[in-house]
Amino acid sequence: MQRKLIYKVLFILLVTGVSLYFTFPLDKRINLGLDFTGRDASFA
Amino acid sequence: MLKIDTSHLSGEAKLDAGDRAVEVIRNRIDQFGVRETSIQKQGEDEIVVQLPGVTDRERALDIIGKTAMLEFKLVSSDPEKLKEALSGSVPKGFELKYTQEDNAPILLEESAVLTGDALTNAEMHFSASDFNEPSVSLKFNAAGAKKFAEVTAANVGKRLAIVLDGKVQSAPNIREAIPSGEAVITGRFTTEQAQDLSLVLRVGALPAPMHVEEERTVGPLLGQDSIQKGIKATIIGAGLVLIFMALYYLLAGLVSNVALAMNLLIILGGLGALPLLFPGVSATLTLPGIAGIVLSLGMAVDANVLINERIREELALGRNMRNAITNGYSRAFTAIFDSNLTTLIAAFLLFQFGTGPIRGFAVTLTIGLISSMFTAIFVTRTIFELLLNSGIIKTSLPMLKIIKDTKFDFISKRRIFYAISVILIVTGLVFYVKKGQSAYGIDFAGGQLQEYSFKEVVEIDKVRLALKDMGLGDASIQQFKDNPKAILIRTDEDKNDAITDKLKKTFPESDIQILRVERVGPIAGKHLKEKAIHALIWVLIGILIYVAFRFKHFNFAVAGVVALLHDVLVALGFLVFTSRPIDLLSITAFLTIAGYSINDTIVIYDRVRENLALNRKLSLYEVINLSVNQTLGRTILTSGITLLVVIALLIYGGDVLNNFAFTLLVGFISGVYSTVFIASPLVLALSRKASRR
Repeated sequence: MQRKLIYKVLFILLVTGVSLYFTFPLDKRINLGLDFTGRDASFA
Repeated sequence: MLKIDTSHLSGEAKLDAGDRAVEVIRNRIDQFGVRETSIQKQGEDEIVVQLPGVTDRERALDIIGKTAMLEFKLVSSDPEKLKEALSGSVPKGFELKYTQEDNAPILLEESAVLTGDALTNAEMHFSASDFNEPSVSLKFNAAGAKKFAEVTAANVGKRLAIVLDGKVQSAPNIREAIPSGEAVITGRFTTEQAQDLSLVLRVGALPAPMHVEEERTVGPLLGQDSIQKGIKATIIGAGLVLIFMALYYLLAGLVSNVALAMNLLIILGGLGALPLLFPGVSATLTLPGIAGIVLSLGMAVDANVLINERIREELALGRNMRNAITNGYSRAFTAIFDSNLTTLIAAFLLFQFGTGPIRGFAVTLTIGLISSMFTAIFVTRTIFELLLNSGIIKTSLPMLKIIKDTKFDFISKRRIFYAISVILIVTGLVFYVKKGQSAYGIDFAGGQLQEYSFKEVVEIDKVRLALKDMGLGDASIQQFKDNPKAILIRTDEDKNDAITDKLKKTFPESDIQILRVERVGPIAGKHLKEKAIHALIWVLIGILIYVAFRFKHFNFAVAGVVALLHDVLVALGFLVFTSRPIDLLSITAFLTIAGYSINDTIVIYDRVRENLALNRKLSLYEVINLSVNQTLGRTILTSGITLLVVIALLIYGGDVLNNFAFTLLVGFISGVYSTVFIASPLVLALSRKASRR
């Protein structure tokens, strides 16, 4: 029982770690798209 | 922006070239795998392509701009003629070219024996003979294959040149007749080049060559402002949710908050990891993407509320802590699983049938739903087990309870609610029909939108007068409450330069700046509208089938879909009534509402299913009333919490988010109403009708 719980916690930590790795630095990982601004000035 | 060179085309082909080019480019980009793109025709011969998040600019431009005109031309075997051509006078009916491979002169017959139109497929291969060099294999359709067989049979011993965009790729010898309808283009390709070439050949040639006329990034002034407001609104909304959960569910709320925070992290991490999982796709967070996050966070909150409420119920039944938690999770599981899977099916179908922004919504929603199930079911359960094992929770898990147990008879009043809904929807539809084309934003109706900033607050009447002078009296002019120094003008045609001149003359002191100009042609608008409607229809069908399958009865599915349509139509009505334009963003809002509505309905259905099994003596009428009452607390809580986020978006999100948040607000309120007062009674009505038969 206890061992299973430890595995679960380790798994959650692993997912958190991987997510953190792919989230930060935020501006490098994710672009803020043109649509975010309502598709603006690019037509000007 | 791309400009199409139609100088070599005549008459109808010239008129048609723009629309055909848009189609070809859209197909190419779809295959290239860039998300959230926007491709729209502008004027007669210009195409605007937006590719947020594309880092390999040149490759993208190459894929979009390559004409991909493929021709097969016979090579003249007469050395005299070649000599003549090399001396400067190319014989009539021939053209002089140089091969790509070794730059050798080659004389081709001017007319092509076969063109790329006859292709059915093009794929990249590594040829076994040429040191594994990448090549592109072609397959012709029946007519093309026949023609190819004829040409090769009649010209054995001659050379046949494969010409792409006027360049001779290769000119192999015809050794024998080729009846199979297959050919191979070799050349010094890199893998990437061969891949891209096969892509553009597969999708088809552009009707005319084009060049990039303008390339721009977003106007930083407005963009920065929108982003800051969007982030501020999201932080405030999310903060309110976390505070509420902690205050209401106390320790259990803190556990939920860990799950919610982790959920957000997984969504962002998932977006960041996309390029790794799907090469060529990069994560671009856009407004529809934010909508996907809001919906999946709403559903994650719901999952947590469902679990906490179930644990509370189990504790009230006198179970010990460990059993209450185990039972709470297993009871809440089916509702969470079914509602998430239904929405997941919807997201999958949206991705299949939607265009750019709708696909972006589908991607974030999919990641969000998967992570929501993981965090709500697995993560919180593990934390509870840790708390139990460490003795932090022993015998009680205190939570507040605002909504006491209720015993309303919702169903007896159903006719009143049906009437209210019908009146609301019909009124909305009348407004919608009356407005006609003017109900749509420029995304769907076409037209032009220009926003100007002034140094000081301007009088809107003065602007109107100035436009009237130019014969633009019917242009719509809008001033924003929170930023009265900006004016938005919508016109049917492209009058941007003239308007700018006129405004500068009328308000010489105002230092007028153009914040943005948007132009959409009517054909592109129509295409976007059709695609959006198709996606919506497929989603409805998908939901119908899954719900019917899971609840083993079609009545549940029909009532659920009616409630969903109800919410979308109510939101549409309010949108039109308040003179807000229907555009691509509204469609995303409708989709979010649809997802939320069906989630809400399924939670109650799940209770009905459970109660039907538990209370065999009760009639369906009683079971439905009981189930709606039992889940009322959860329904009000979840909706209230989700509305916190939406209201934060509405108040702090700025102009760009305003219409979107407003639509969500109306739709979510309607969603709760329809779940309780429409979907549940409708199941009963449909079942009675069926049993009478």
